Amino acid sequence: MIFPARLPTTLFSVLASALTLRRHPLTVLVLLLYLLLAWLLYNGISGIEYQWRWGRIPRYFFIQRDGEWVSGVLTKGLLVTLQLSFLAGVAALGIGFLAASMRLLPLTAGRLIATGYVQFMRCTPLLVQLYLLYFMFGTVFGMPRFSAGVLALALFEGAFVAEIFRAGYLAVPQTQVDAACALGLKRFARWRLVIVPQALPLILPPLANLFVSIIKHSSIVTIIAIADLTDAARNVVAETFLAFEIWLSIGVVYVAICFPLAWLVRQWELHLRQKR
Amino acid sequence: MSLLHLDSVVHNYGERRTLNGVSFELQQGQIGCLMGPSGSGKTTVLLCIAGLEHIHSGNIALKQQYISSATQHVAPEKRRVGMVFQDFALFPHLSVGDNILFGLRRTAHNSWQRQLAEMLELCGLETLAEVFPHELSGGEQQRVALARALMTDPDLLLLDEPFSRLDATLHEKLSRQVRDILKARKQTVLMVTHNQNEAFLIADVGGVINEGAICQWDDMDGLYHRPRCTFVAGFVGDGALLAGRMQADGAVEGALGRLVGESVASNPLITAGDPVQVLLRPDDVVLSADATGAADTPCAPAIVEQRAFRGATTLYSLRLTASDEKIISICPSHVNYLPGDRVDVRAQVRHLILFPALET
Repeated sequence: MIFPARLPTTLFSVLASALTLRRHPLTVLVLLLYLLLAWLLYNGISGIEYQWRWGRIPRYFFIQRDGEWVSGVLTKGLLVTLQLSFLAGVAALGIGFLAASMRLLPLTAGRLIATGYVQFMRCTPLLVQLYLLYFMFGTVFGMPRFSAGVLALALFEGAFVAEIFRAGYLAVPQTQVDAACALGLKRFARWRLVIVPQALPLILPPLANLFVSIIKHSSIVTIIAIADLTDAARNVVAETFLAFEIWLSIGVVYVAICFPLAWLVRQWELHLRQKR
Repeated sequence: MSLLHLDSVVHNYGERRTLNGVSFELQQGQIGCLMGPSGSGKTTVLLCIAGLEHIHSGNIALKQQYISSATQHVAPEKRRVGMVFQDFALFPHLSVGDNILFGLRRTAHNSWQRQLAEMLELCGLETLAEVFPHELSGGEQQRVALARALMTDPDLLLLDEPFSRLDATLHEKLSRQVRDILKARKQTVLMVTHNQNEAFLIADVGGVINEGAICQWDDMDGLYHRPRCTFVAGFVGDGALLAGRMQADGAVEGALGRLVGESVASNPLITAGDPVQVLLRPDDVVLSADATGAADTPCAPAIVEQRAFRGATTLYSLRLTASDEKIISICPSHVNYLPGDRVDVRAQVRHLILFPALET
């Protein structure tokens, strides 16, 4: 009688310690939740009696043409997504730094402009901003759709970058800056040696989250017909009706990009923490 | 020639006036101390001298050079004024050694190794050069902050409430250590504190600041024994004020009878017949169970209201039965009374500290 009753708990503890999560009492609960999710997914898929055709997926990533491997539509879309996200991310850093500086400097006009920008961007949906930018300014100034997409994303994320920079700066106590002053350091040296080393470990995790979300948010440029990964996927689904296979594959691709990125930044952050 | 000279310094914080004409001077090698209650403006004085705050009128001179006035402001990093902050402001991302050498960044660190070793030894931090600030005790952090400020060899060192973050039982020991370090380097220092005992232990001269103005700038003995106003009398040391009337022969007649002594805080406005207030320090007041002890000095009955046991001594708060005035007395703790006991009180004053009575 004792053996069968103890079996599940033993299994769990083996599994939990294998995952080195044993010290967290909630681990068992989390594992149960995962099992429940897997069961729901399995039942959901088997319930609709779907005919899986995974074999038709690879050709949309890579295709052999005239004896040579060339990128399929999805790979091309992925490259556009990466290009778009990278450019938007770099631009968001610049815009965010500028806006944060303007909010912190004792110049009323600059502060009002920057605060207005941050509030507008935070309080309106990205979709609306994209439409406004593309259909109003894009047509007036003849802006290409790819540039409009990059600009819209950069302006949107830049507002959040600004808030992250500002919070990081404000988290360094004023006496630290005063102490550097009293020790004879000039403005630039105070920034380089006192403010940045202390603010950087604080702003890195939220910044990493933001970059991951830029990659995901970039999928919204589909609506102005930029051929990114999501747009390519929509086209393939429309042609082939392989909805589940395509969207699951696309999901995996996004995870494959975002997860290592988040992990890398985490390592950098740990490295910076260790130094102090 | 004074090293530091403040002349009628006025500072506003927004609409509020924080300093209202502060003037004093400090000589080379002196340790000065500003005392005052919270919000009196004492830290603002330090920030103005360090150049972290601008002043609105008056001027500040260091080594006969104006560093602050309404129109002139030397940048803080160019003043050669060191500062130890209340929270020490050690850089958490740097080791003790790097913290101490921080102000010497412009030159190569290894050329300073000998000076660093000397400074670590002076401040008793020999073994801690590689340690990070969060691993230090409060007293060690304070000495690192001190060493960091001393390392740049400032003309003037400012200390902002240097002991307020530390255990009260460590105050005395650390204050003496700090004074020894400062005196060994002949450092000119201005510190602020709300704790008079710290000031007594460390400072040569000092001032009491209240509502943005200095009431009295004097040596420590003068502040305690010759206070110029009732605020200084109440802030520096314990004491109680007793009403009385000035007599023609210099004595004062009050609830404790006729008080005779050398009148020190002689206010020219006080003439015979005027109502006055007499400052009675707790060691001026002697208690006895009956009045027969000394017939030559007058005594008065009183009731014990509170007692505070302090080990070797006990501090009594008393109410005079005749006039309802409150006085305090410090006695050796073998003299034991309980609240509610009736005692006889005698004043043993060597000198009279007199103030004009308040208008009523």
